[in-house]
Amino acid sequence: MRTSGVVLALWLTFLFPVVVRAESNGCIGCHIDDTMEERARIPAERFKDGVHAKAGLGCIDCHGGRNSDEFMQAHSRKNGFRGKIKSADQPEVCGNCHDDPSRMAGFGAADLATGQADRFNRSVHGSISPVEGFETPACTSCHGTHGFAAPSDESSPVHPARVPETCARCHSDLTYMRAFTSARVRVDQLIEYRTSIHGQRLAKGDEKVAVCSSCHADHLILPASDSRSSVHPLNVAETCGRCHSDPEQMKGYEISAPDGTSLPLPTDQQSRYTESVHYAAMTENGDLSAPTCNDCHGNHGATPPEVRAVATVCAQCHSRPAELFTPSEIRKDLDTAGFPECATCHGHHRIVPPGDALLAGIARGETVAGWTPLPAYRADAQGFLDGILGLKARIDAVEETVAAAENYGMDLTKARLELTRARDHLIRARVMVHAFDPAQMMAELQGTREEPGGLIYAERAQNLAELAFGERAYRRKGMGFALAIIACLMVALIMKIRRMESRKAQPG
Amino acid sequence: MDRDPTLRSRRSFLDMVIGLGFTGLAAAVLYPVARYLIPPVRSGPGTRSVVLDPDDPAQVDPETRIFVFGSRPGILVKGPGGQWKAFSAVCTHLSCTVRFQAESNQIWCPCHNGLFDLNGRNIPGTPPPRPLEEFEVHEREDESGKKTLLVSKGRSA
Repeated sequence: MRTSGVVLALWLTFLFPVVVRAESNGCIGCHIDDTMEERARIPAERFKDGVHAKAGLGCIDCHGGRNSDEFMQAHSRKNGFRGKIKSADQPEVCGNCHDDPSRMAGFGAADLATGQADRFNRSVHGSISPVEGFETPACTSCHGTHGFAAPSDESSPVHPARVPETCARCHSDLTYMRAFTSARVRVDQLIEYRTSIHGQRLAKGDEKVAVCSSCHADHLILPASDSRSSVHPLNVAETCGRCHSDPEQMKGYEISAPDGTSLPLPTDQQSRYTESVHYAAMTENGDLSAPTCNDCHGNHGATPPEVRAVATVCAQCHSRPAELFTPSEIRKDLDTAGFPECATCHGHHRIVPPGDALLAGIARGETVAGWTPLPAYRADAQGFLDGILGLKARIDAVEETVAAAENYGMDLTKARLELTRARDHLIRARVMVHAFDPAQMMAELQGTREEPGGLIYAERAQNLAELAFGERAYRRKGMGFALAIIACLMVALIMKIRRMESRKAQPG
Repeated sequence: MDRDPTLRSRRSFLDMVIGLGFTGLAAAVLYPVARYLIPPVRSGPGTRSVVLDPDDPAQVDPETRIFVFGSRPGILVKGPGGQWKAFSAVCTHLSCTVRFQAESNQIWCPCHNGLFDLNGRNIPGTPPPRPLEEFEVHEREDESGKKTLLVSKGRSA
């Protein structure tokens, strides 16, 4: 009994596992064993539940080697065993299948997109130079290892609900990010994203909203400075428009109106934006600092500006109008009435070049946002318009006089200088409209005790031009006088010659 | 021989007219020659160059640092390295006249808050799309040891 007990114990310890291994799948058979250390066992456990195992793939399809129970056979370098797949090799290994449509079809996945590895290689992630001590991003950085799941599966790290956290694993890690980019790299994208409408809705379980990959692309991720990037300033509107211009995608989303009611979220923002002065500045004048969607709405923290924050948003660039508008009475009235500050007159998305016509609109009681100005504001607007047009007409008239004087060869440098000053005040008067204050407008047009206004400078230029005309008249008189002298001289000379000739003709 | 006194006085009058006429003609010819030979005392505000005394408030406004350069305003500032720098004071946004702003140590346009640094470069995020046109500045000393600046349009400008 004792001997047989010892034999049984020995058999159980040494031989039984071999028998079990002999009956099961080579790699998994060993790796799944409880006696295996964790780092060797967990991959096998994960793999058997993943999409690759379901498609009939085995460990050796990625790791090489042999599907053998014999350790040396299975792990022999001669048999192509490569162990852990290095980051640099992953695109090639994964691309063997995922870049090959016919192979993918063979796995019964004909409807799956292909070319991910190729796109990854051309992306900012695929072109990072290795840095000692830091793993460069590769396929497994986002998709995880072994237990690969489809992005539609909630367990996948690239499931929409999990994308922000997956990207943030690296992008919120300053030490890691600094290893590959500059010390000024930002790592607050996830924090910002959580404050955005997209982030807030995602947290509530709305998986239709934009996550990182919706804007930055998934595999072919390029930096915003690259003109091919979906987040390059010239491409941002189209990128946002992919969802925001799609009525189907936007169905069910609402935005609050000035009167507090809810309206369906519009889908014409992109088309309206492409008709705006901002879009023209960017596409026609090549000014990439001109605003696109994210400059007003934020990028990671994208949200529509609140009515009372519109002026703050516009002030990022239009600081002088904002300086005048912010403390004004008209702003308080607009805020009280629930109208969107700047956008009340200038509109939003389709912002047209500002002009005197806008002022004429207010004088008539018409604004883009449908606000009806009080009669006092309408009267002020009419006064501003008359004043501005009056100064403009005066400058044009003086300009004509100055040009006419210059045509006569007169030096009008000083008059030109005065005209430049008058024009300065015309431009400043147009900005001054934003204060909606007749006294300040008068200071630009007429001037104050301390500083002359546009009309005064125009008058000075006019006086100088008139002086030049006086000078011209004086010179003309001088010229006439000189000509008269020359004529007299000629007559005298002729008479002298005749006299001399007649004297010669007389004898003696 | 001619003894008629009226004829004689008429002749002397004729000679006088001719003499005066020739004197006038000679003056008309010699005046420009004389003007050419005598150099101007001080060059006035030209369109290509101007000589400035940076400390003379009549030439350079002490507050705005504006001076007159032909028919347009110029601006004279001390650059970040302490050297004199001169630019066209015409803002590259809507052509308003820019001025020096002591509190921010920048060049500022009062029309739309455009900003330029003291090298004339437009500050991103403010309206001007381009830097200010830069003039060449040469320091020189006259006979009395007084330092003046010759500001001229560069060859590239």
